[in-house]
Amino acid sequence: MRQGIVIFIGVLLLSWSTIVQSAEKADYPVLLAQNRDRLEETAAQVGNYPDALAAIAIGRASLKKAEQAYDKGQKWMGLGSLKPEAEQEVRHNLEMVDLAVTLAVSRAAKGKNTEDAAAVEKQLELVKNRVKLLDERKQGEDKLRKELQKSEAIAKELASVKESHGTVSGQLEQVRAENKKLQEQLAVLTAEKGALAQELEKFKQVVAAPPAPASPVPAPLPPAAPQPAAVPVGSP
Amino acid sequence: MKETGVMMLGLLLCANLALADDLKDAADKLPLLSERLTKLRESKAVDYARPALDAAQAGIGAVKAALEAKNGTQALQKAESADLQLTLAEAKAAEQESAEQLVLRRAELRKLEAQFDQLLQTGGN
Repeated sequence: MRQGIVIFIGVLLLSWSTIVQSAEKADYPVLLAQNRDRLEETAAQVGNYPDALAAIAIGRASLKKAEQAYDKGQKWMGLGSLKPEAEQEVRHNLEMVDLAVTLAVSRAAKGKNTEDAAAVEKQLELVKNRVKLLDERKQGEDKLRKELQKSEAIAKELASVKESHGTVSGQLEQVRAENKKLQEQLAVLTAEKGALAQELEKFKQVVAAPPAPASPVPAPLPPAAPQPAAVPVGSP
Repeated sequence: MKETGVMMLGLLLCANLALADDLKDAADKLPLLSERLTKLRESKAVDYARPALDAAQAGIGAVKAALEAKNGTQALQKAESADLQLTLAEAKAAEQESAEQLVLRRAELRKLEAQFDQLLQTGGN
């Protein structure tokens, strides 16, 4: 009876120590499952960047090694904890999975940055070309504006010249009209001069002829030639 | 009985040889890892990925310790881990550099777009 109690207490202590030991040890099946889930979630998120996918492949290979180490390292009938060397290998490979996941995320971020930078670069080229085009147009406009200013100055000058030309033309017309009037007067005067010369000739002949017998009434004198109107100089 | 003894001896010899291979592999990897770490310490990775570099340095220290303890398996595991840490440091540095470049290019684009808008507004004057 006493022997039975001792054996019972011994078994109880053994079981208790096993339970405590198991509780202290990591729960590898759970850890493996968590790492698998995390790895696959990351694989789904990193897109198709080859470097990131290579890191995922490293993670998967490490996870497989951890699972194999766990399966092979179990003690008899799956009771108790893992063999120490297997546990070390499982831990190491889980650490590798963790690093691989971080690596995949980092490489995916770099891939995304590179893609975004390429898109920004494209946009930059586009805007640069637009700025260049606009700048060229602006320069063209400035040039045209200067040309326009020159043209306006020339037009003003031309208008001024036209105005002076108009004045000069008016003056010329006046001079011409005056000239014509003077020529007409000259013609009248010339004709009068001719008539006077004839009268003078006749008068000379009369004076030179022998005197006729005296008559009670003297012969009448020819009428005097009309005097030309005085033309003021410079009047239109 | 005698055959069993020979077999056991052979198994022990194989196990010892495997351990010696691990030690040799780890010892071969160590200078390469140290060289990579030195190069990374001289690059921008110091600014961009210091934690990863520190972790890699600790890993290399662990490889040395395992080699001194003649623990081939652990030395190889630590070497593998340090190798991945260095790769991670390189990746982090590249990621940060690309992020900075992106920020710079975006700033350049914004500046150019502002210039373009200004040209558009003052174009006719």
